[in-house]
Amino acid sequence: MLKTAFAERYVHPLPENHRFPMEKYDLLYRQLLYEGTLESSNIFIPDSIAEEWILKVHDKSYLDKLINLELTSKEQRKTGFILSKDLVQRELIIMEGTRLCSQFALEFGVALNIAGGTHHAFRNRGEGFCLLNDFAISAHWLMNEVRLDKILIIDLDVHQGNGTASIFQNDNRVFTFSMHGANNYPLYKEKSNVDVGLEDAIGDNEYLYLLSKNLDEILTQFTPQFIFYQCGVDILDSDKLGRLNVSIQGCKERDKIVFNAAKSLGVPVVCAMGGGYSPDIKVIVEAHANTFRLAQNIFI
Amino acid sequence: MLQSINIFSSVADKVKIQHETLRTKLVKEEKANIIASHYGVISQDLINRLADTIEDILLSFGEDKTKIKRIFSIFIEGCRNIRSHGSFDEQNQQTAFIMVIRVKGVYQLYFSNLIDNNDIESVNAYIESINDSNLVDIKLMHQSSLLNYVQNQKDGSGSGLLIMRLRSFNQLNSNFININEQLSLFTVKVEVLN
Repeated sequence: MLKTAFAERYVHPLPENHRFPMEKYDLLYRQLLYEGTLESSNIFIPDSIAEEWILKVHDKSYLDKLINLELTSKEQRKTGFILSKDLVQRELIIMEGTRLCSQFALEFGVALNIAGGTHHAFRNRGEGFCLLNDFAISAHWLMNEVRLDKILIIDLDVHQGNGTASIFQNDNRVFTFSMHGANNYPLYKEKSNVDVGLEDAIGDNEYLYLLSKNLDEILTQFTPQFIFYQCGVDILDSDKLGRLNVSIQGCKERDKIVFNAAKSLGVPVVCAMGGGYSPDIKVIVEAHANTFRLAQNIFI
Repeated sequence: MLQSINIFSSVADKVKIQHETLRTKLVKEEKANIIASHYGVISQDLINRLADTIEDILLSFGEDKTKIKRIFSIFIEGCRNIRSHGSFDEQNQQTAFIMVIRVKGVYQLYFSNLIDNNDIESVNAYIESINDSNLVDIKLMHQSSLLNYVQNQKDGSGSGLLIMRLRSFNQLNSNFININEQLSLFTVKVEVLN
């Protein structure tokens, strides 16, 4: 059973011409149901996450500022969103979506969140459309409730998972692997356990080679009990922010490499969508949909 | 009064001559089949194009996928090494050359880049240490270089050479040709054993 987190609140209204393609979540959800990749029984609607789990990762003072809508204008600008009760509520639901995905992945081997992958959220601040860090929160839930102590976070969004790397920099139970554009945001990169900075315009062949090479070594040496996979589709050649030259087929191959590796090792995997900024929303939805189609084919 | 004129006075010209000399020698003396050859800056676009081309050619030769993967891996690592560690000429260009050839059914890859003369000794010693190690030790060296280590264009020094050694099942053959008082041309030849 491919459990998938989605809620109507994932789609938060944004000002016209905002560069975040919020509508992709609804379109992706509809596409997956329309084509039969998912049925309504696959979908679950998360509620808000318990504060207890957020506080395993984020500072209380930051969470209070977020919930009480007290972020300064500068802090809000860094997040890329105008803070509102609805936006915060949306984030709390996405966090719970990923946490519940972790629970389902333990049972079914895989689960996906139609949103999430909020890897730019630090302990004490948000950045780049990320207010809270869903993988970090869920990893703490797994460590506390399921007693796992070897969790791998694979971050293949084109932007470095700086928040995630920072949160786990001194926690050797969680291994962070980020493969991202070296010349892309964030300007200052945090230190993951393994960072692979890619040059501009890198193509499918080299991209997939570097992924396989590094992933093989990491899986051999770290032997994870659980994998979180941030599968941003902003690596596509069509992406406005990406700077890489990976085709939609290459992006699909990327997902296949990760899923096949997890499946062959019998390690549960939770996947969250991350970024994607191609001008044509159809391309974004198609690339994300490929991830779900592959998950169905490989795991179910 | 006649003045001596060195028509190959620029660093780029000297590298070009080395490339042409080697290429000619390989074709004429060793009857090499040139699969790919490029002199100049090794750009990301070039790597993308050559990677695709080399793969297509090897497939057309009927090579098996495992061997193609090995050669491809050596090619990518060699190109990344050049882009990561190659020195720049007086025009601020990372002048270099690469060649992929087949001689009597055996694949050879050449990677040449400029190197600061002060670095020759340490690079030479490193290659010797790689050649003196067996493949199991090389594998361990490579694993330890991966973990807890930030890999980006400017770091990861030497990891590419380890992979070349691992994937070729062979020792690395290297040489240094003096270009001027600051720079030399560093060439690694990798012959892929079957």
